[in-house]
Amino acid sequence: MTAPDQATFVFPDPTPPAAPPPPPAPAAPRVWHVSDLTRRIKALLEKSAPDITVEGEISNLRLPASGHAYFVLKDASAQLRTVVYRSALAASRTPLRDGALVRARGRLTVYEARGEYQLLATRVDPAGQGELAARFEELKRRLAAEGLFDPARKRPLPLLPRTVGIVTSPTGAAIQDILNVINRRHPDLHLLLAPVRVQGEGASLEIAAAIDFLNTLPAPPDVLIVGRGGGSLEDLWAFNEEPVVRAIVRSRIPVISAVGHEIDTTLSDYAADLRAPTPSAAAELVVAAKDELLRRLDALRARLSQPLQAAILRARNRLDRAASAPHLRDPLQQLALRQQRIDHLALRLQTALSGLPALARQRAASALARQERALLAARDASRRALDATAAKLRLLDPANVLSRGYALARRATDSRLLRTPADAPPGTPILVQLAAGTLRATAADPEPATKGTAP
Amino acid sequence: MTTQNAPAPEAPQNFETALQRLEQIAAQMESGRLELDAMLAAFEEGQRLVRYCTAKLDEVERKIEALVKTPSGDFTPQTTPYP
Repeated sequence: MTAPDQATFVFPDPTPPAAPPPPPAPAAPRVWHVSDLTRRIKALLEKSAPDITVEGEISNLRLPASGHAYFVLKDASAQLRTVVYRSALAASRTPLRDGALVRARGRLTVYEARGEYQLLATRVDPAGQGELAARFEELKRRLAAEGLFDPARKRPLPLLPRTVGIVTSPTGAAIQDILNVINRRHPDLHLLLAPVRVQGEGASLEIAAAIDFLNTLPAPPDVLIVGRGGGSLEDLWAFNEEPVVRAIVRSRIPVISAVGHEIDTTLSDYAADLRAPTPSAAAELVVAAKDELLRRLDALRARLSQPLQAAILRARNRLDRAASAPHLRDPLQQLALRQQRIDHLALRLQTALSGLPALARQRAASALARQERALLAARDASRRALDATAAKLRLLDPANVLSRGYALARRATDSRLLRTPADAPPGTPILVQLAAGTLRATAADPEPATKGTAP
Repeated sequence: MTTQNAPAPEAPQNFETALQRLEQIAAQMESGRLELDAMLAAFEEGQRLVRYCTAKLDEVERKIEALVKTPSGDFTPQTTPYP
């Protein structure tokens, strides 16, 4: 490094080198070479700012093939050229993009070839996280005070979702995750994607417009999934903005929010009817609803037929018991029993009468005659009713049917009644029951038009 | 049939009411308080509702579409199959 004339170049140097003291007034101004001067400036600059942190917005970002990143950090009134070498970039947690507010840490240096000073950054972090958090809390308080996050506002998801509206980026991770779930589970669902930008300037307005638009469709979706994949607090910021929150609140269609990962919570999550931890989880929720319905319907189908079957069984048992009651099983015996009772009563009365005086005997005799007539009339009525019942029962008796010339054909092996030719393939031994006996026979080929019978 | 239950077994208005009615019918049948005739009628109504609900579930076709945007960035009701 040269030891230039200090007197002619006024430059504040915090640590003046042990340079020779300024010479006495020179005869002529010292003439510098550009590179000498530049090197001098560079040395001073590097010494004065070996480790500084600068906050500003990234603009004019260039990422050439070398892997280094070049951009300008700016604020409202000034700019600072900034370089991040590839090695530092790889270690950085923040993806660089235009418009991002960042804090760049490094040292000031001079790019001699162009005479430009610049920040050589070794680390770039998202800036204003504290400020974003404060804005988040402030907006949350304000919207909560309006009742927008009231749990009572939350609507149940539709029982049977058919069309699912999805508000997210058409190229993002969220739509891929949702489609993966849908493709794996194969439900019959109609997915309708409203493609939007999910980060950057204007994203919140696009998301809000998409939610509003889906509500105006002639056949609107039954449920909306609004979200995006994971990212930094800044990346997810659109889902904390008022237009999105208000659009979710305003939506007549229930909204499932699905922003970022499980740990990320946005104001959209508070406003939504249901918060899904991730976009995949939102898709699972919708699919599970349909599975659950199919299961419920199956269960209901069983709950309908089991009680009916049980009731039919009970009724059949009652019928069997009733049919086996004595007066139905043997009507004539019942009749005979009654007759016997009448005879017995009459005998007792006659015996009693013989011991009475004439008048009393006469009255008793006429009373007896009346009673006897009533009893006989009752008996006749019973007999007619029983005869009718007996006649009905006779009609049902298979023996009666057989006596009219019909026959019952059974399989010899298991006595099963034959109803179709298929019950007795050719060669099957069969029994033919007639009114007065049973024939053994063997089934031959069925007759084409009517029934097949044994020879 | 002889007995007619309170809500007439008309065509259900939507899936949700159909399912609710179905739950109600199932509970009635399970209570064991219905006469056989009423039970048969309930069963028939239930069967109709099950058929209706199953048809509704099967009605949806698997379809993945995206809304189309106009050059100015507004949405249009048109859709295009999503890849």
